[in-house]
Amino acid sequence: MGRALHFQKKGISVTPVVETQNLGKAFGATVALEGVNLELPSNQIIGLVGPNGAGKTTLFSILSGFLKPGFGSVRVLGHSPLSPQLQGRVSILPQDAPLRKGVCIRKQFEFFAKLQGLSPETASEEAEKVLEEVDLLEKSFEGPDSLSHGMRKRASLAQSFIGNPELILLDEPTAGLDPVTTQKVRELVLRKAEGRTIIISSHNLAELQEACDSVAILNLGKLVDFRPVSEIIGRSKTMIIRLEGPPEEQLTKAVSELPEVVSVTCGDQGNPRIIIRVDGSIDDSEVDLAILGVFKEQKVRYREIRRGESLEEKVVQITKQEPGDEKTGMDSSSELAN
Amino acid sequence: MDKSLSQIKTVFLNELAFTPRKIAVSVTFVFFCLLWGFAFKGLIELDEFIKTDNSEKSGLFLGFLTWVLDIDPTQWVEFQKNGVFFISFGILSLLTTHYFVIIMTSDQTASEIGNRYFRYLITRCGRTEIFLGRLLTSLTIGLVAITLTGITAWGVDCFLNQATSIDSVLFVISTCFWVFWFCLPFVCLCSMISAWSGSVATSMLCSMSLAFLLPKVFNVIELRWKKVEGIKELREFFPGNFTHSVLLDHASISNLLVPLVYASLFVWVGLSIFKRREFP
Repeated sequence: MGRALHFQKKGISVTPVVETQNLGKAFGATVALEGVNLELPSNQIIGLVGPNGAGKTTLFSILSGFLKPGFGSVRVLGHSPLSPQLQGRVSILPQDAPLRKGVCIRKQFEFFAKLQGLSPETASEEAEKVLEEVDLLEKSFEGPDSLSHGMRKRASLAQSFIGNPELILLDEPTAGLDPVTTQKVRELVLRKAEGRTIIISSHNLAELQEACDSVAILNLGKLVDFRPVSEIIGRSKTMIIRLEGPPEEQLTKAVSELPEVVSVTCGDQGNPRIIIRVDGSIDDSEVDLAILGVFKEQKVRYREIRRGESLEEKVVQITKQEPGDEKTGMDSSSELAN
Repeated sequence: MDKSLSQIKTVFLNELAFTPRKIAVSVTFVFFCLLWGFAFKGLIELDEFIKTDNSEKSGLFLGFLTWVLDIDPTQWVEFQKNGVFFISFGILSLLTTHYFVIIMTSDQTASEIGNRYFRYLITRCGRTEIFLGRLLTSLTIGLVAITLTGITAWGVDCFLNQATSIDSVLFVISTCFWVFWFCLPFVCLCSMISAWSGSVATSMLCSMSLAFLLPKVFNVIELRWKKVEGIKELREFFPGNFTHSVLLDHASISNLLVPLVYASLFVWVGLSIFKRREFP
């Protein structure tokens, strides 16, 4: 049985755009989703992460009405996923779904817009607008087969913006894109997020960390965490110092004895670092200076200092844990409690 | 309701515009035209033979007709001397057109269930509207193919007789209608199987097999209970068992209703499948 994980923006009543209760789905003997209880708030960018086979695409497919829930219930914008009330209000960038070959993308977009109820003139304007947003206006009269992989991806992304949908589901929007295009896509998503909810499923966790307000983590079909990104990575409570070699016991002991420090965790041989969890109520700069003072005293050189763990690290940690230990996991190596 | 109709119209027009790009439709249409090219050549020779009672060239075609249609062409001479060309055209149409129409319309939804294109449509449009829009497109493709053969037949008749008459035009219209009516349940069958299978190959094979086998079901029944009185009347209740009687103004109400009932049944089942199916 999954736990109900949800949160609300401080002081603001938030109506969930997606609400699932004990949602599950199995394909034969393979369980893709199990006991997912989720309430996603509106007007946010939400990341959906997890290893391959975690159930991300299955969850998207259920929310979009491609798949039926095996058990449990799901409401999208207050309706069943197949409700006519949702037509045009929810859109998706599907993973690995091709646009029609041989038909220019502009015509296809006009068709999509007309299906959403736009008049032929407005549909044409809308198609032009979304193509311009992804820098494909010059290619608008070409078929998807004559576009590069990146362009096709951008075209698929563009179609999800047609007609101002309230909820946009983006399944791997930056997969296979070069860094420049990835950045453009991120900027576009941030622009489009105003006044709507965007859920992004991706393995590019650095991008998600930058773009998302909150992240839901799936593992083996179960929802294991759903919190604001800042909370997950512990920005105000964690300091990571990457070292040139494995930390000596003397250093970790000295750091852990500082009054501001709650605990110290050491990285392994291949990843020499110490993760210092600090008292979040104390001023950041004071803590930083105190810790760096210890480093100076011990004459230890470091490569990088970072506030908060990376989302990638946290997701790896969380998904490595046994079910039931989701929120208590630490690095696999030794931990020194203060 | 307005939105629903508008979506059906949008899907229908879009599909119609895309149809020439569908290889199965284009290639089949070429073969369809080639077959009718040969058929009209043969029918012209048949016409010459009947008019002159002497044409060596027509022997092969007559033999073919005798074997395929199970009708002695000399009988037509007796009761329809001036209409043999049209009757032959009508019977050939009834016998062959539905196979071509099945190939052209068997992929109504299957390939795009398989390649996931529907993922772009399902969040925007109702499944019923997608299904019906595509069915309408398929029916239109069939109607266009049939109408083209009808127009050609009328043109050939004009060429043969150096004249035309209102009877000829009415006969062509009536023939095209009956051929279309004959094809109707098969197009709907294709839509049902296409929605069920999600694979072009399966859809085409199943539709062709059923189109071939369904009319034969009656043959088995007739063979098994041949001594039962009135067994032959049951023939009309099996799709694909039209006879050339409809072309000789002997059409009955069941000729009109039976295809419609089967078409409605296939559409209802197909629509139920399409509305309930998953798009993995």
